[in-house]
Amino acid sequence: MNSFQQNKKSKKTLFFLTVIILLIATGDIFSGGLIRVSLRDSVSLVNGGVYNMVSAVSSAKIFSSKQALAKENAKLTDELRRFSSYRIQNEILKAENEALRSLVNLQEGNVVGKTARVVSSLKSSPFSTLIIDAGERDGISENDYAVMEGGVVVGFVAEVGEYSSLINLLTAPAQKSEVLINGELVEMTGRGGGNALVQLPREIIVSENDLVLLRGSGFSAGVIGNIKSTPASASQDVYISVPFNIQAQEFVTVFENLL
Amino acid sequence: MRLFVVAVTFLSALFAPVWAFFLLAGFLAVRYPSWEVMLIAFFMDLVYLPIGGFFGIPFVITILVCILVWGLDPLRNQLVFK
Repeated sequence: MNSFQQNKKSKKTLFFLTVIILLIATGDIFSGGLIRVSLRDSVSLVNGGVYNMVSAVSSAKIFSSKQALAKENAKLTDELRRFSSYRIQNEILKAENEALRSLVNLQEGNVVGKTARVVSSLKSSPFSTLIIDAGERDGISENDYAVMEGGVVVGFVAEVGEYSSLINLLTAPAQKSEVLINGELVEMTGRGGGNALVQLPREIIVSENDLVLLRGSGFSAGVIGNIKSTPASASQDVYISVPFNIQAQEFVTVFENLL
Repeated sequence: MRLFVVAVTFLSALFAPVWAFFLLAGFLAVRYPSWEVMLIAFFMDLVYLPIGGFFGIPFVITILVCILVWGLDPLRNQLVFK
């Protein structure tokens, strides 16, 4: 076969595949995402297995030297000490939080969430989405809150499969959500990379590390990271960030959306 | 070589940062008339993208990669690796 024939054949293959993709894509859209949900279930199963294997190998410390283990031991002892002090602080904050919750009539803290494992890498997703290994069969439904470390809502359930669900982060580009900052109800827009933006009138006084609450959830949506305002503008740009690295989180707790 | 890069591209779609995927996809599109990269892009869209799309556009990565593969076709044929 000469290069002209080869070229013609490869073009034919490309064209044929483009048509097939177009047909499947149309089928997926018209079936309401049936194909993607089934595919996500399979990916969740495979990825879950891979992550289990990786964590089993790393926890077995097969590749660690004695010195590295001694170093890690010292680090963990230090961490344990730090965490016991955090635990006491946490108890105090919990009591204070309960008192505040009753004041603002938010969702009660005794609502039980469903813990699920994150089976996709956030850095691999160009759309700030996560896949978790819990779905319809575990009682997950659309628009439920996905909560991580310290009761911070990182996103909500966008699509549910039988064994897996897709979480859309609040900080996903152009994602809009209603939040409360110092009692003021405002719209937060995701900017990607774990950040979101709120435009507030300049009269509202806010400062860095102020808590941002997700409307009607009783959970925090992050903290104020940076404030930018110019004397010429009537509003100020308030940047909201999640106080931890979402990529490093292995688990997520899903709470029912009562709104 | 082609099979190896395709396998790495597929793994990068699942476990590596998104730029790694685009880098490998670009390489495949320049070097070969790579229909495989279109399939991987479609797979990524199905797995990561909610049905509402990205800024309302469905199958964004597939569209981008299709443009890349088809767009680079004349370049591949006439200039690069004839």
